[in-house]
Amino acid sequence: MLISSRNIPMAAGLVMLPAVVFHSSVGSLAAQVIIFMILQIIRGERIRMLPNIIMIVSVTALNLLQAHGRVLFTLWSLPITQGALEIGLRKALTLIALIYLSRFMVSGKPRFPGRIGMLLSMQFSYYNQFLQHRLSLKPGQIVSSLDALLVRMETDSPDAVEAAAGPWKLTAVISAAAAAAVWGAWLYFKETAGCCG
Amino acid sequence: MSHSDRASGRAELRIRSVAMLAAFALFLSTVEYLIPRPMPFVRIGLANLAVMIGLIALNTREYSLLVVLKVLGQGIIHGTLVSYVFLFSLAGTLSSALVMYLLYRTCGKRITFVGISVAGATVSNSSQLILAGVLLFGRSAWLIAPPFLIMGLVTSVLLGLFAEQFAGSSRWLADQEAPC
Repeated sequence: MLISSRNIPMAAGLVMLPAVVFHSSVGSLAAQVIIFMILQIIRGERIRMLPNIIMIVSVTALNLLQAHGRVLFTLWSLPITQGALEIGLRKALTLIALIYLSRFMVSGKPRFPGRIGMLLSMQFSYYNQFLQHRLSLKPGQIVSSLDALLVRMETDSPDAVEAAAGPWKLTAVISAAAAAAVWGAWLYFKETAGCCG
Repeated sequence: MSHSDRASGRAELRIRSVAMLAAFALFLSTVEYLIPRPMPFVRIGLANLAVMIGLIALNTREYSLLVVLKVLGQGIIHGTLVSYVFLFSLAGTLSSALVMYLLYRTCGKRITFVGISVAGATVSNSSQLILAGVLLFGRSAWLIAPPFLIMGLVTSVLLGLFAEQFAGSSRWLADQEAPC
């Protein structure tokens, strides 16, 4: 196989990345965020909406302080401008889209080449051990229990790297469909802006 | 056991220490990720504790590896590898790691971990504010500067105190060979 099954989401993500970061409109970014959320649900992960809402509100609000373009309305003497609103929404949606895209890209537990790749595998193995032993950390004696955990882990050898990713055909089909949908949204909103904007 | 076997065994142990501290940084950043934040970029910087321990236990090369692994590992685990968040993490970690390293190596015992931690957090937060201004908020970035920097100051003092206590009592650190 040309690309290892673990690296399929990473490769698909690299194909989708330009559609998110280059000249995306608010509409295409919103569509892409929805596509990435669907991907996350397909992978069996929960969607937490609150961080997204906080991100959109805070980034957009801060951008609104710099007036830009046509005034839509005034809120407590602050002019809400169309340009600032669009810039804020675009920045917030880009950030959210990239976070979801990143999660998708690493979902196959990709393997990295070379010495750094080997060290990363070892790091993740120890990380799993930290997660397994987290309950041995006592809040009242955090320094000593942490020290004891480090001593204990040094004597254990790191686990073998986790099992391979899921069935590669399904991963490949889902990745290809996602890439087509993301680029489709980009093209659709580009065409719409071209015809009417 | 020959001299070369012993040397390669030692090298292997030190590499494992780097990977372990990098994993510890990941673990701490996962703990921090679960703590609700009032604003998207306000953070505690718990993972810096692993970097501060690395200052004592590792040599320059190993410390650099730890910093690279911390940034890459966080990007992979939290799924932010190709997002702005990764750039923020990269800028914050590289700048603070460099400043903390220079302070630790040049000042020696004249500076405590509290001082090192505060300096690292201030540089890290400042570089992230500049990046936030360039990428996201424009000139409005100065509005988030006061809570961001004050929060960084408070948490870095607490982290510094923790690192000071850890350095003074750790059996694990005492077992580590002195870095060359």
